[in-house]
Amino acid sequence: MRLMETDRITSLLTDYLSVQSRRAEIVASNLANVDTPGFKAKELDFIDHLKTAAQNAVGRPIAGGSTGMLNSLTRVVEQVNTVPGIDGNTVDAGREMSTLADAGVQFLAGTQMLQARFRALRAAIKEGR
Amino acid sequence: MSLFNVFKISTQGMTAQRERLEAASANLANSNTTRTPAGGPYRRRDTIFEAIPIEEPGEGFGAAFGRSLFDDRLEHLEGVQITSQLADPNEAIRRYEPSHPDADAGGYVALPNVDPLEETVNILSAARSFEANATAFNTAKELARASLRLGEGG
Repeated sequence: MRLMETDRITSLLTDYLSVQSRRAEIVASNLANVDTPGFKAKELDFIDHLKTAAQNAVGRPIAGGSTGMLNSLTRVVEQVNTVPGIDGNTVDAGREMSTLADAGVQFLAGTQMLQARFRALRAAIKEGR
Repeated sequence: MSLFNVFKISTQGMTAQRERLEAASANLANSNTTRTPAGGPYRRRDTIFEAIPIEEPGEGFGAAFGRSLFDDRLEHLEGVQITSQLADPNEAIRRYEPSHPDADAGGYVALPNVDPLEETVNILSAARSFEANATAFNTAKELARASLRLGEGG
């Protein structure tokens, strides 16, 4: 779901929210499969995105910003450094819960920033009144 | 919005854990059952979990509407379901009890191979996993609520 694009900051924040909700989604999938034999825990890979963002940052004021950019650059990968259980399942409930809390807090931070952005726009529309 | 997928996946997780809990309590309840419709003592049941892709919306307006709500990038994301409830293949326990109506000619009764300790551990594990799914569900709910509040104020 896309919010209306008004400017780059808004669309960047929208992307940020999508990525955080995507992380929560992957955690839900891992937790649902905590007892599935042979299931491999997944996570969102940011590395490709970081590289591109770093490249774009050179010579550009704001990296990213085009709608869907973060989403097209992140991908779902299997977690590394996991210890498979006796049934080959690699889901670590503790790790998942901390990822969930992290994604939740970051999402809430994103909504706060977006709200501040909307307030600023509203103030501008009303000419500061 | 992918938060809606969390609801879907976590619901599947909770359903699967509840079915596991049901099987474990049925096993405990029947730990002394010597008669079944199929004949012989009760056989303990075991649940097997299987990862399934969350279903893709099909054609038509409803599906198009669903696609606008749910994310179209469903690759690699899996829900869960119970594939089968296996009857445990282990031998029944035989106990010498000549007065029992179901005793065989030698005076032995075949009792279910239910280990109360194993079932209790199963119940605890299912309850914890259920809670984990419920937590994921609630977090998604709070996040969705925060997004809905975006337009408020001012």
